[in-house]
Amino acid sequence: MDSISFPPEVLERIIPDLSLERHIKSGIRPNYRNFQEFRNIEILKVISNEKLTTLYIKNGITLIIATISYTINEIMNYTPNQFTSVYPSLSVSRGRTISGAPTDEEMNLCQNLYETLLANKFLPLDSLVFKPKLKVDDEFIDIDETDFSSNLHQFNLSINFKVLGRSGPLFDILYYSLIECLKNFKLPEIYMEDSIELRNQIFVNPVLTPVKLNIQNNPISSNFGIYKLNDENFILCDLENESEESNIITKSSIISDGENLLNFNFINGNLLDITKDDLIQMIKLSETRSKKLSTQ
Amino acid sequence: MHLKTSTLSNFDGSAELQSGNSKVIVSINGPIEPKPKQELPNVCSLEINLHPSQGLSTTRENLLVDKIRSILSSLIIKYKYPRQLISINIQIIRSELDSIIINNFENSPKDLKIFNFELSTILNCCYFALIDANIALYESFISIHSCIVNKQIKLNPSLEDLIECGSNHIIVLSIKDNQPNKIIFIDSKGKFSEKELLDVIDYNFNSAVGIFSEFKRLIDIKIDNDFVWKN
Repeated sequence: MDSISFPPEVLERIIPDLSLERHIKSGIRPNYRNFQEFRNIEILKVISNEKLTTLYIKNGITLIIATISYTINEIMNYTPNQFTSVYPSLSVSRGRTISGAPTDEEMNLCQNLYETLLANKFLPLDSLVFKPKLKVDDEFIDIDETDFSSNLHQFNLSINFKVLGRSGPLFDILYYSLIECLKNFKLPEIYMEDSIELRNQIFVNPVLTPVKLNIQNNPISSNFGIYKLNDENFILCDLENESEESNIITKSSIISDGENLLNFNFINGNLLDITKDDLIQMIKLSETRSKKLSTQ
Repeated sequence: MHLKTSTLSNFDGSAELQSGNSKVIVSINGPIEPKPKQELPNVCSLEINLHPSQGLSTTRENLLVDKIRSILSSLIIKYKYPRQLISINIQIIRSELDSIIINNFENSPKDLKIFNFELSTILNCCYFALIDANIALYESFISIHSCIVNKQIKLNPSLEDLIECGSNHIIVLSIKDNQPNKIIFIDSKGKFSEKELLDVIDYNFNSAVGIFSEFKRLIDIKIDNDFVWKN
């Protein structure tokens, strides 16, 4: 009986665990990256107007189209020095023609992005709350406090992600897109007309000002997987492809701004003996990456 | 910490745990026959439902379930129950945040939910329910919630602590021979240094022995109640 041999990419689809083990044994990953090498991040295009800002971001073979936009609502009162977040929505294209209800992955990523940004305290509520100005003879003046229409208004930010060519965990690149979108996003000036008929309507003056953010350094999210082979733990940066994603279940996601950690998630999926040195190494790698991406 | 086990008679295992102001009921059915789409050839599948104390479950509960699933599926010996299903139902009876919704606190409840108050209580309650349901585990586990307030590590923080804290950490440790053995899960949010994180992990390792001895005492009481005929 003849033996059958498979090329590496076929073996990866049939027996992903064996494929991964053989690659790691020979000191290389199935995607031909080094253990501690991250995929490249590139901002292809930024389109901006008074209504929305769109970013095209490429990460390896994955393309993210992120569009940040706003809605306005009237609020009764608000507490100063509080922080808010952005409402995300996400759709991952997987080659299906019919797009159904959001998958668990899409829901969890959106919720995670929302919670992470809120916990990071990057977006002060004060920068989104405003009082519309009054337009009198082509001049914008502040509305009198006692005026009935001097109610507070608030911008609610929402972001829509479209992911094409998913090839690994998406949280890091989505977080990067979210922060870049916020940095590039500009809000218009809102005013009211000084006439009785148009009194309760608001208008957009396309004089744009950037959103005031509470970001000092550049926060970057990185993910790591830990693979055990012959009693030795290998740390793999930026997981990619099915063989890595489905077989490496001990993983962590770290957000670092180069000096401090902002988020640390770790799950020991196959009960490995994780030492402090492993944790320190992952933290160091994420700090180095954050510093490197900030200087680019 | 107050524990009641086997509270629900129609389930294979159940536990009711009160810790601080949080109260959770977990019920477990399993191993039972799965639906065809849930069946896995060599391991059991897990079905986890989480019901919040107020309203319907949202994407927030979905994310919590995702975290709970990743922790429990690493600790349950899944190869022992091939082609079967373990169904876990979690009902939060009372949460720390419930009173805030009524009292209209300065921070909106929506913002405070990110601290994941209930997660630690849910995981500890799951441990007792899994024991009550006789599900095989690789190792025992405990979940500890801590935060850093004014550079001091505080276990089981109150709401005031969390609002003021620099960072908050939920850590799950596995227990072997009454000693903490492995780090299973870390969820840290806020702003903290590498040293602070390692200090919190060390602190939790040290306090795990004391907390687990309390767990053992509760399990001893449970066994005494279950085997009433042994004398």
